[in-house]
Amino acid sequence: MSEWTEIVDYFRGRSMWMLHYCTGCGAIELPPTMTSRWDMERFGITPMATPRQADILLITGYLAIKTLKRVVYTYEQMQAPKWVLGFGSCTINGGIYWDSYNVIERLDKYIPVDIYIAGCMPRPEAILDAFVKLKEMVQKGEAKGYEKYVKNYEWYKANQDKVLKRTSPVLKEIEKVTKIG
Amino acid sequence: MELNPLKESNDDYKYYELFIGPNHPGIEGNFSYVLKMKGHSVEEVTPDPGLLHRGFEKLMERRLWTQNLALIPRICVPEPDVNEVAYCLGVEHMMGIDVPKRAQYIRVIVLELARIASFLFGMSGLGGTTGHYTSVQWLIGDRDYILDLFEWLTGGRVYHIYQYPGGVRNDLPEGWLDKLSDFLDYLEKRLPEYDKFIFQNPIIQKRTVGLGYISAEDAIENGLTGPNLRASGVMYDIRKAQPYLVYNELDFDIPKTGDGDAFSRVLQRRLELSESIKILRQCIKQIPEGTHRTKVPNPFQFRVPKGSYYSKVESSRGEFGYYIVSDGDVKPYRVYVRGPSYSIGLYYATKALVGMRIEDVPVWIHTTDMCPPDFDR
Amino acid sequence: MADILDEIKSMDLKASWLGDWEFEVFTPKDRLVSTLSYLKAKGFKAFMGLSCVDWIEEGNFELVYILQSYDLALETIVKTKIPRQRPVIESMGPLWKLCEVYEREMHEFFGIEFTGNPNLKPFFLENWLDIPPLRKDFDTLAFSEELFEFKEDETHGIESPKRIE
Repeated sequence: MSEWTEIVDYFRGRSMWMLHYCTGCGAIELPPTMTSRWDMERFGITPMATPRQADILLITGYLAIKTLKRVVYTYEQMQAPKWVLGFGSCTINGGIYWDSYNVIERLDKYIPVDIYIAGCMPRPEAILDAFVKLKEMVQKGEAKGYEKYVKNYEWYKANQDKVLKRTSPVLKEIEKVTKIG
Repeated sequence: MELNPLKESNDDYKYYELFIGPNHPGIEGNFSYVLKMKGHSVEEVTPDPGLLHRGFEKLMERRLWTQNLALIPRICVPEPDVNEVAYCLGVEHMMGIDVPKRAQYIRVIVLELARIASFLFGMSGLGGTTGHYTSVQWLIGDRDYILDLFEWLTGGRVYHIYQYPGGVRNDLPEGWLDKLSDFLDYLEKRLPEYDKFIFQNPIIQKRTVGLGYISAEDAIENGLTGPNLRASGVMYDIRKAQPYLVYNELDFDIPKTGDGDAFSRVLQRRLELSESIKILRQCIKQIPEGTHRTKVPNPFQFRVPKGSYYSKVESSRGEFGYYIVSDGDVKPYRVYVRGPSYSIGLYYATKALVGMRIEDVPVWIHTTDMCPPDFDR
Repeated sequence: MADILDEIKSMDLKASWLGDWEFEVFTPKDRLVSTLSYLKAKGFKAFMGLSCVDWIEEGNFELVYILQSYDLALETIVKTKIPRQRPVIESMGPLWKLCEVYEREMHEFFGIEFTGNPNLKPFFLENWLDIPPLRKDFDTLAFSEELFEFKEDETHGIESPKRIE
């Protein structure tokens, strides 16, 4: 079996389809990466419209709470093996929106991330570098974020529910504050 | 009984709901319309924004006046410089700062370059939705020359954070204007090619001519601004009507297409692109020597006098307005951002898309050149 | 251009120039509809935006209507104050249908009730249970720390969580 896994991993790394989902402002650097100047297709990476046929979920920047819900749906729709790339500072620690009420701070509390790309915003070279690195990791069988998600499903789900399924106000001092009408 | 296979009959179909976006190649950015469909025609449109909401207006109240300059470019991603300029214009007006002539010219150069970049990006989006991928490759490729110029000037490809109250951060590097001039020569050579493969392309003409007609009254009533308004025949451009910076010293026209359909909206942008090139050439010739920035208080003592002001800038999408309120503190009391896509994306689309066929919806969205980050904020 | 300002002043409203092409008008709450319809009839046909300022110390919300006239090339900013304790005001939907969308946003971000607006459902935020976020007494940093549990430490959140192997 082990030889087969190695062979399969080798080919997996050479053909990765990226889900075309522009979650944040980093999406503006994807067209140059995809088109003639940087041309990421030479690495076997091409955009794909539906999550069910995509391998890579590229989180391009900050995630509003509303988007996080869609991203979790999208991630769960994708078929394993699947990899997540966190793009930009916002996915690492909230970036410039560290104190925003609507932007999550750390992406890997909610879905497992295989590679982070730092910067605001990262250059196309950085994206390509991350793809090459991911390719190496996949071929070595190291990028196993999706297995981590299955194994620690309860932990991820609890974190997601804390943000997405709130049932009471987050700030407890609400009684002190003026209420409407 | 006469059988006509081309006749559309939707009676057999049931209503169904269709989500265009957020994860959909036909939508621009992270934004969603929920369409109630009957057969293949749209019956009802519900916009579902907020997927990009970051609470800018709240965050700006928490940061110093000058710190905000790093935050606000992120409001409009394809054309970030209008935010900086509009905010700086407001702050300067409230503080009574005079901006040196050279800085004003540099600002015009940056704004017009950003406008060209944004038009190229918008037109490439149209290519994407009509299946005309050559235009995506070419226009995005040409846009990159502008990003290179920006990188040389400011250090950033997308977000520049180049403006500062009282002027611009750094002077133009040596040789930058020559390179800009070279780029304009190159772009002018390319424009006939664009005309050939976009505007004389039978497929794009078939898809866009006559689509989504907007009359002048409708456009005013629904709060459309910028090229969308001008394509409907209302020749209003803030650069002409209420000139800011040095636009009154520059000679340019507002091209008139005036059909109000999707094709004329794209054509309007294409013609305005030529005017931008004209403006840039004049700027290169006329830019005076001198300082690029007047002295302003240090960032920690930077206080704007009590009051309020509404400053606006003509962006590639329309009027970008900043309503700034100060209570004399080191931080703004309130900043309201009027994004140009707000009225068209959240309100006018709910009227305009009704009755349209599903395949025309992405084309319509891209011809209005809407930008979800600026209404989600 | 100056005539319109004099005319407004003769109606017992406070008005002043803000810049070269924009002036502000202060109107009491009960005269808002008449002021706005007067301005609309005078050529300020385009509705540009609706904003709100939370003057928490005064106990007021200040609503800001931004109108544009393409013929006069003027912009006007109409301001009116409503009490913070009972923020209720008439909807401007009959004048500009577009205004209802802005009102929906202001309802969500400031908690202002617009009577006559049929659609004040949540718009930008989902499942929002706290006080409206753009009010001055809403602490966004406390909210963020509480909900996303991101504490600023020496690693700035770079170190990965220990619970996951």
